[in-house]
Amino acid sequence: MNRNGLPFLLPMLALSLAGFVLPLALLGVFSFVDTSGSPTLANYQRLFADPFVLSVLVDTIALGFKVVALTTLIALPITLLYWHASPALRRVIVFLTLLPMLTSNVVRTFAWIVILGRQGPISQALVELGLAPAPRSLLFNETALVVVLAQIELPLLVLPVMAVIARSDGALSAAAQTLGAGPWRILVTVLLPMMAPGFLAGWVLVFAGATTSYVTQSVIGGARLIYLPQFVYREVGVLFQWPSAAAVAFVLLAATSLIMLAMTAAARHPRLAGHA
Amino acid sequence: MEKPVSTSPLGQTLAVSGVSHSYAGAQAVDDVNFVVPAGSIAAILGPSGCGKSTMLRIVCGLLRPGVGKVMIGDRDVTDVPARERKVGMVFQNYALFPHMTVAENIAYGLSGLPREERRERVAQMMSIVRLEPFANRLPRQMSGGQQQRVAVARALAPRPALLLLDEPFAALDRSLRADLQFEFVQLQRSLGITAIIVTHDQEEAQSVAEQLIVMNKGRVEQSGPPAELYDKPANLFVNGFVGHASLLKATVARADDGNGLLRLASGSQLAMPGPVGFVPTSDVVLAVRPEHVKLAASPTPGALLAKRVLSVPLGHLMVHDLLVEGATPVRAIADRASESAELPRDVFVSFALDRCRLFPAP
Repeated sequence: MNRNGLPFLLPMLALSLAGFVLPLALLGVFSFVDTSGSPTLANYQRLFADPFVLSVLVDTIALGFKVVALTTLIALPITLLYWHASPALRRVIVFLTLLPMLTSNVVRTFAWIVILGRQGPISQALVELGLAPAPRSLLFNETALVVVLAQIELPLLVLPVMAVIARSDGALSAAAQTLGAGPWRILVTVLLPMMAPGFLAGWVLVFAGATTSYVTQSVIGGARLIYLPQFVYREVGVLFQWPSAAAVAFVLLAATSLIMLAMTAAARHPRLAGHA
Repeated sequence: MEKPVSTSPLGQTLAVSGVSHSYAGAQAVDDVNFVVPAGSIAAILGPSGCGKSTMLRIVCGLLRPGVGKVMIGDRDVTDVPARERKVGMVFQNYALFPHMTVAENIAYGLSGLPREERRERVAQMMSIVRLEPFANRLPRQMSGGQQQRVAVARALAPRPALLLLDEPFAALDRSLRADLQFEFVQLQRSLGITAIIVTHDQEEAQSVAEQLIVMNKGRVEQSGPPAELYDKPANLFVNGFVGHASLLKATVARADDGNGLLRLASGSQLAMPGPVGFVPTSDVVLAVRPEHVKLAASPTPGALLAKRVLSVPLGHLMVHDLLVEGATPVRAIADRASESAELPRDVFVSFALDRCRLFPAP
């Protein structure tokens, strides 16, 4: 094994040790002590005994899966277009995909407030078309939150799939055609399996992004929809309950890690790993 | 009820007539005509961008030509899409499905068959290309040569009327290439299938095909058996593309009687053994194959003075690169056994003029 690269990794290792691993360990310690400083499991026991906390946990994970599902539905036509596109059109698609990432999450979230608000274009259109009696806000419900998160996280799913496509043999669908396959059979048996490693990688990113997106969750979801990030913030910022906040944060970390590990493990399947 | 794939007879005649196609105004293929007899191998040969790949896509049905007709046997397939055309295709980088095993790849075109028959056909194809031990391997776990054989087996499994191969040996090592070419010809003969190979490599085309179709700028320049194209190229392009030829610029000095006379750019004269077929003062190009150049250490009548630039042994042959009369590069090949002594640096060359070809100057 060649270890000559180690010096080049040191700055990154030091940064991630001091800025991530150490605080995380401290948080871990916090979650296992009570206010007086003696070790206890009470923080976790309290958490799992509280039906509200459990519902927040379930809602957060459900939100992650809903965003993943909607993002996939939107990403699929884009990636299929990319697969069939000429090199010039491919560059345009990559550019349009990257474009929203040039603005911050916060800006994109506030843009959605305008779109979904009472005076926004959707509300106005519904009134003009006679589908709604009066203008009303479309904000502060889970559907709106899922749509907004899907738009914000979309590049994280599309880009890995495009990377897989760019590396695969463009003749695959032509080969399937000469072997007698129609468009649906090509999609299901050739294109989707080919793109699967990209989708798995993208799902991990989208899931992580959607479940932890504090700003979007609180601005679009409003005060009545509580997910784990807001819950942690409330424990720390409002109630100063550090031990309980630490425990919640660790539960969130464990739950999302478990799901992401499962997705990553799936992506390492030999049939997929070959071109991932 | 669709006809079962198995009854489709192997080895049918392909006839392409008057096929033209353009992409966004640029003419890719222009009035192409050729016939490939049943059970033979033809090679479409040409430089990149000559339209040979477009031609292949038209024959296998991935592309519908703007004008013209494609016939397989007595079936007009011009408007039949690729998936119904029953033409097997081996793609340049094989286009094996990366997530499927070798057996699954080969079985892909057999979805219309009952399970038992399909399993038999896959086993049969794998034994034909000698890949039985690799049935459950994934393509990336195999070498380039093995992948190529999987691609051939996959294309042949549905018993196509025609097999097309796009640069099938280009990605392989030189030594492996010769073995696989030989193997492919054996396989083609034993199955009696009609095959068309597209290649830019004239040596490959000559070693595999019974018929060469030389294309340039979307047109067929000449087609026929390799030896005919080599010995009687129709024009300067074919002459240069099939085998090596040195070109000497000349003017016709005399053409009035049976024997013509050429004046080279240097002023030397070459007496042709027969009529030249050009009027006097025409600018012409004399194309000389390396094996038609004779070298001598001492002057002979009609010989030209040349400087030996480089001499390289190639097996039992010796390849000489010469500069004739100080200006024109000429390549000569001689049997090393016949060259008794070391040649001096300045040599005298003469040409087997009855075997050389004259073309109008471009």
